[in-house]
Amino acid sequence: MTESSGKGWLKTLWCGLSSNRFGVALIALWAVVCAVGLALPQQVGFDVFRSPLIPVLGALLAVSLVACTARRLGKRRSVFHSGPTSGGDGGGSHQVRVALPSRISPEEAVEMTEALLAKRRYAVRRLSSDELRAERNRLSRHSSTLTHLALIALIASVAVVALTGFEEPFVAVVEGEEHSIGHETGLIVGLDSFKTDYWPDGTPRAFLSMVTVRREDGTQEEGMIAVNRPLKVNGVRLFQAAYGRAPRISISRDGETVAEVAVPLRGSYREGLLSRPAGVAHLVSLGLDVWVIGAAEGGDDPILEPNQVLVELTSEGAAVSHGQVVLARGAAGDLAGLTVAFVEEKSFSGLSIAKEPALPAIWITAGLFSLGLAGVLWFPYSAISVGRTGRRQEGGDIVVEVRWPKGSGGKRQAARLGASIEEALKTVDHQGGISEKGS
Amino acid sequence: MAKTLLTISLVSFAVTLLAYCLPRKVMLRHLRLVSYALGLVVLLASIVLRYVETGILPFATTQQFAAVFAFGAAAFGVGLESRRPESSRAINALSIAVVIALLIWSVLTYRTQSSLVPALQNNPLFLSHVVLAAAAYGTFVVAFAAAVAQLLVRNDGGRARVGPRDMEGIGYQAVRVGFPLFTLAILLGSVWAGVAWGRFWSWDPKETASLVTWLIYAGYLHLRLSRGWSGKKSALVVIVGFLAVVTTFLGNFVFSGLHSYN
Repeated sequence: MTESSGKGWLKTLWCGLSSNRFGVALIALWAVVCAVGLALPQQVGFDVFRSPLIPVLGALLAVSLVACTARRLGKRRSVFHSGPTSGGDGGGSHQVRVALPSRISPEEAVEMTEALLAKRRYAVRRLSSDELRAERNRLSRHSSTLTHLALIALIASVAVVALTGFEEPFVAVVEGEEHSIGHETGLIVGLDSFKTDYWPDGTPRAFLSMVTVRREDGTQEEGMIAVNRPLKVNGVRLFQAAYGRAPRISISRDGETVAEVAVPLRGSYREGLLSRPAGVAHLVSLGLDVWVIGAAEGGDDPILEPNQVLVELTSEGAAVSHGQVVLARGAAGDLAGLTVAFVEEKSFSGLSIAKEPALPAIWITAGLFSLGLAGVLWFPYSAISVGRTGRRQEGGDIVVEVRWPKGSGGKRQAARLGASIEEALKTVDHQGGISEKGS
Repeated sequence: MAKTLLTISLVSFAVTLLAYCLPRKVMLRHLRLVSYALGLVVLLASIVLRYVETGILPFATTQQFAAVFAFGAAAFGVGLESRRPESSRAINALSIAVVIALLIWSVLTYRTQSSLVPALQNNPLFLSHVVLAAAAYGTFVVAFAAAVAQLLVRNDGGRARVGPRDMEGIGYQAVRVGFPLFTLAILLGSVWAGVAWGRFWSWDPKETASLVTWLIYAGYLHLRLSRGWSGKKSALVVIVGFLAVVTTFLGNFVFSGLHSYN
């Protein structure tokens, strides 16, 4: 491949990536992928939203935005010297010609137009006696570029959060026990107590976890975690995600306790229409899994009383069952040569733990994105250039050129403005000055 | 009382729709303006009263949100009616039909709610997120109505007082107003999700459906502003966008997820 053909290939690639067509195609692709992910039930094995497809599409979007913004900025630089009516974001221009009544000179007409535009909140600048430029919403001039840049920064911030932070979506901490958060935070969270509160109609009102978070240096922080009220310690945020029962099961052999564990019932076991809370604890030292199933909520369980649990011992990985036994609180039973006891029942709190170092950047860039969007759509930049054609020695037509975002009615805008100027010219009082009608 | 007011507003909007469908008469214009304004004021009073009666923001369930959504659509329509009564006639008639459908559902499924689950107990974010979403949805209803009217109105070379281009202009203006509102609604929802659920984005079905909706309208604006799309093609995109709005709105009945509070 020659150098020039290499450059040609790169140029084609750049043009493609920075084109509006590619941007719109990416938006469509995102929409299709999300719609498919929404319509098809996501499986544990394959989930579109957790697949590499999303980061790949995000990266493509970022590349497209960077290329598109670079192209815009390049264009901007090249048109900066071509006058104030150029350089707005993605503008198109429309011209209307307004015929001058014979009694009015071009200078007077331009003066009247200046007054008319000033009334409409345009910042008007006279370039000469018969030429002017006017702008409105000047601050919004670069809002489209701001929107694109903010979106690039937003994607980058999300990537930083994903790469440098961590998230534990569900950590079950049993009352009176501790859990090491890990991820080099050196933090240990302990659940001191858990409280639930209900509305009179039985709807949950509050889930409150009283916790103590211990640091590596021996200091600690006590606090409360509730839904909508996370606790933040050393940049790590702890959220209330769930709660439930945690029966404590003791296993002994020949009268000697070999294991005792509280099993949070964090999952569910379905049997027909009945759903029972269920949990498992892995006893690595014994090579056993302890499965515990609680009574279904509402007291309509045909097998288990509210104070009973069903305990099943399996070999690790649930390959072989060693049998199951129903136990009331405080009772014990024999299973596979072991004595299994349901010692007591505690509560557990399901916490979601996350560290998102660039989170403020996400909100700032999202705010800037919204600001840019409002600039583009609510306060669009428009620029008007008014001058005479100079076709006739005296009089001549006035040419009004309106620059306005393409597709947002610039042609009509120009036509309306032209009509207003024409109307104003017709109603001019030669002695008294200018009046505007129907504007 | 709140339910009675909701029913009165429904009747008012039904009268408005009737006035829109009858021939153009000055008296009918007055009637529809009065019934339109009455419906809107009474609907707002119903929403406020519901809050006063229970002390709970009445946005928790889809049925409750339907009333707020209807208010958003009707409020945007009133603005249109006052500014462009002639060109908005068909559009407002269609919008009011959607408002009536929402209110019928809201009245039939009316239930006094006296409790709020912990996740929804964040009044500033709850209020701003839902109100912005309802306002945006309202503008999208008007945009949808404009797109449908645009496709139905015959182009007779500009002889008629109102042509497809007028409809298209109104539809664009509606999206122009609604899109930033919808963006803010999603962003505030994301902020709230970060506080309540610990994740600012969970690919929850409602989140995903709203993202699809956002992408469709973003595509529409890009196609229109950058690629100059107009006419039937852009009207179809707006209609597809509104179908996405409906999917997002009713998604809780199809998909489960974190947003299911019914």
